[in-house]
Amino acid sequence: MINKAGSMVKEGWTGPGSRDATIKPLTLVEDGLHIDIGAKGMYEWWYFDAHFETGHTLVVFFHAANPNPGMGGKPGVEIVLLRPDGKKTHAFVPYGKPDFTASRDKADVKAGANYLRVEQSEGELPRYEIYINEKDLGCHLTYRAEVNGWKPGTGVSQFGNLGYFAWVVPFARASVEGTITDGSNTIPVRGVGYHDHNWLNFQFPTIIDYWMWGRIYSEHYTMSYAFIQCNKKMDNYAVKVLMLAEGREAILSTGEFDFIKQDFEYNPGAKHSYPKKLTIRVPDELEANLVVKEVLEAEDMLNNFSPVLRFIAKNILRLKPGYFRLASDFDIKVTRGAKTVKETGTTLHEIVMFKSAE
Amino acid sequence: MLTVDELKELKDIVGEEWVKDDLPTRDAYSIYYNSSSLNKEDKLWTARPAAVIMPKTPEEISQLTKFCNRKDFMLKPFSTGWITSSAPGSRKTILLDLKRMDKIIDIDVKNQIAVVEPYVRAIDLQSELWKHGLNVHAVSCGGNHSILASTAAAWGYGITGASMGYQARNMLGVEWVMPSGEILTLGSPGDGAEWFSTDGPGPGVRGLIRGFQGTFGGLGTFTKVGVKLYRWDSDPEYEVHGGSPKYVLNRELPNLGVFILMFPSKEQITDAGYKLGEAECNYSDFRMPAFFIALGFTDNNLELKQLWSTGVFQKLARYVLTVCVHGHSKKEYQWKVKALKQIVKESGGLILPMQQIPLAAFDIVKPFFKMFKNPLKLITKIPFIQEITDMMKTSEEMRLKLLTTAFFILVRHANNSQGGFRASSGMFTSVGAFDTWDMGFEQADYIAGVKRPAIEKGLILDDGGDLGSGGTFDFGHLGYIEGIGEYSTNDPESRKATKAIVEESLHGTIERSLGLPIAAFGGPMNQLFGPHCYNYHEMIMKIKAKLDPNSSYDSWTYSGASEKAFPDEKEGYTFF
Repeated sequence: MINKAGSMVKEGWTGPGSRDATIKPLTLVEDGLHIDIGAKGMYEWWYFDAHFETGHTLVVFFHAANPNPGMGGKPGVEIVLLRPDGKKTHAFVPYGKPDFTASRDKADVKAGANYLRVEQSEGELPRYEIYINEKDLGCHLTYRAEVNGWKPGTGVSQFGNLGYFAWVVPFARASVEGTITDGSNTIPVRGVGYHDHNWLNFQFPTIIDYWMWGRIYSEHYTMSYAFIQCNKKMDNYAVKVLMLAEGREAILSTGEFDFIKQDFEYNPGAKHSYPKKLTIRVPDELEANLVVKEVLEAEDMLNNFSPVLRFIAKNILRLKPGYFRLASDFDIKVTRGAKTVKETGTTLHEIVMFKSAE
Repeated sequence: MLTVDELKELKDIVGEEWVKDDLPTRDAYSIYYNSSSLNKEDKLWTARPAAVIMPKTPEEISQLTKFCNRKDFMLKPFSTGWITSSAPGSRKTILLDLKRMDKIIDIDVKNQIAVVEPYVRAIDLQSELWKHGLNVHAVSCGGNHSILASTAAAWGYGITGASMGYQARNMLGVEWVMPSGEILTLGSPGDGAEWFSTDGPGPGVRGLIRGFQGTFGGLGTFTKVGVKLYRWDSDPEYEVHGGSPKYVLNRELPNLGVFILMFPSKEQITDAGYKLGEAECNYSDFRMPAFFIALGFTDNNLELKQLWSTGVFQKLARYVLTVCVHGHSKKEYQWKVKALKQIVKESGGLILPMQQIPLAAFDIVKPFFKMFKNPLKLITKIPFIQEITDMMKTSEEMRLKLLTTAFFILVRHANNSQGGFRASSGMFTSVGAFDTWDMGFEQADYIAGVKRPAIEKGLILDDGGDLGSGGTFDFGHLGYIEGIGEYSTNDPESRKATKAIVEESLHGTIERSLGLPIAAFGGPMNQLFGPHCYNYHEMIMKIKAKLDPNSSYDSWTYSGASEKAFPDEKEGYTFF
């Protein structure tokens, strides 16, 4: 979709154009709390994931205000454990305002006994610790960042007068070590992880049709991307963000790339078609191809809604929320000056759809 | 984004090699001096132009203009102006870089008129003119500015304004590619006569295209201008020794002298300014604030810091006027120097010897200066102080060194490279209404007060507050002083403080009736100042709407955000 003239979306790129000529590492304060907890229509969360050598995948949210329909902006923690056999357990545990605290100076969050904290020495990359102990699910993990923190431009995209969306990535890649708790089992784990942080003041489905989001971890490069397709209220504008890091340093921060979706296939689980091939191309600088080899999750998100919300979403709002978690083979080709390096591997990426992406 | 067909159409007009739509070129035209002042987010980069085109002729520009009348794009012409007002106001803007239009078309020595294209720089024209015994007014952004731009399109204040006036008044006819694409020559040349007047028979429309501030490329492209010249009765060229950035004249130029006049009070410097103008002594003049004087005395920032910290300049050089005296004959020069000395004496001032004083001397006199609030007031009371001062001599090289610094500022307009950016990397300006010489100092005092809290917090450079820079115009009939400040371009807090100072000064200018400041152009500023000045902004918008109904020219620096601009490009800004 070509971004049309007259769009009301103002992205935060610092320039030139929709990219950042200067990429500054994130500061700790940027991963602190931004909203006023309890303020109506404001949402904010800290997201962590990890893929372990054991085959487990873990996702943890610390919500200052949960954005998902039916959650009413409640504070709490959310944990998703995807086991090697494909079985998934998902829980959101709300906490009252007195039991949820978050610092504005840095990522320092407490929700009951659960916590998130960070330490960083001068010149070093940060080390995050998360602890969750809820309903037979839990984790105690240490993330050691391997890439500088990053944000696209100012990190904030303004969607006309309908609201803003902010996104910072304190680390796009980290080594993770610790334990996860699955029922009565405490499992030592080691793997690779990711953390980002969002805050916004509108509900996604009001202006977004779908988004595709993912990362690539190769030997020398880390890539993080997002493609967010807005609806007609925003002139069908597509917000595109991409970060490429070589080693620790982010070397590319841009919204100027081709995002090509090909070979759509319908999935009855999510009740949506998804592209089996994605190509991301920054002319003369980067090309990445992702070819889906396995659909790890495909979910009709209406199933998570209460019956009333499900009825409203389906019949009044005409929403068909679907979710995909995909495992893909990738190749990435990076050109810097006269040198081009090509690397390959496998990666996980996601698609959330409120409307069709075809 | 331009389509393939649109690009082809543009290339057919000017030739393929002169249309640039590649990213590196467009990015290179997206960054300007102080461009972060244009947005709330403090972004360094402006909108990226849709393309950059380098036309060669008015006919090509005419066709490009007609293209923009048909398409959803706009033109913005500029020549040498690497300042934010030359930036594209929209991603739909096609920049016209006029550097291929660089011809001095004519120098009419007898009638003292030059006709030039947009990319003729003041320094180049001046160098050529000196061979013919002529000179041209140059504005204070420096000798590398476009004479056509300062004459026909924007601003016009400069150090030689004392004898050569405000540049808008030196315009003697202009060739204009109108927003419709029609090529119109205004004034006498439009009637087939020579270039001697912008107003031909019948009603004059000079005010329509030039007015006070200019149209900043928002109302067509000016492709030729006739400019009034002034006499130069000194050597056609000079030789220097030394190396960058400090060249030194090998010898003084005939019929030319530079004087540093010091006064104990504001009243005395203003009175002297009027008298010098009345006697037509000042070929050019510059109210040099104390910090800039200290800067001129030093070769590097370490020396400057040491010198400034003595506190001597803050007390001694608060009211300094540097004056270039030029005689059209030896006798006239001698008379003017004599008159100048008499005026300084009557005004209770002191002429500083043109000597580069050893820096160690300032440490010696520091205790004396600490004892008195206004030591110059005492010094000027000493009998025969001027005669004693005149006897002070150091080496010829030291004398030539200081003379050269003043010469390059007052005569060759190399002012900003020497003064504006050396100390802190960034310079901002404010106030700067064109009014009386007295009011110039009122503005300087006002902005010094606005700056003070930021100086005390270390957010901007401690220049003493009063960095009011300017001079007299039309031999004292008018005066101009703008409130400069120095900040760190690398420090976001410094940039933020700068923006706050400029914003406060805009409102303070209105509250204190300090006239239209240098930044009073473009949509948001016109909206702010227009209601206090006969609603001029409404007239500008009417002119724009009538002459450019299809928004063929990007008007963000003229009448306001263009109709064609994207919504996010229509936000306000604080230009500094």
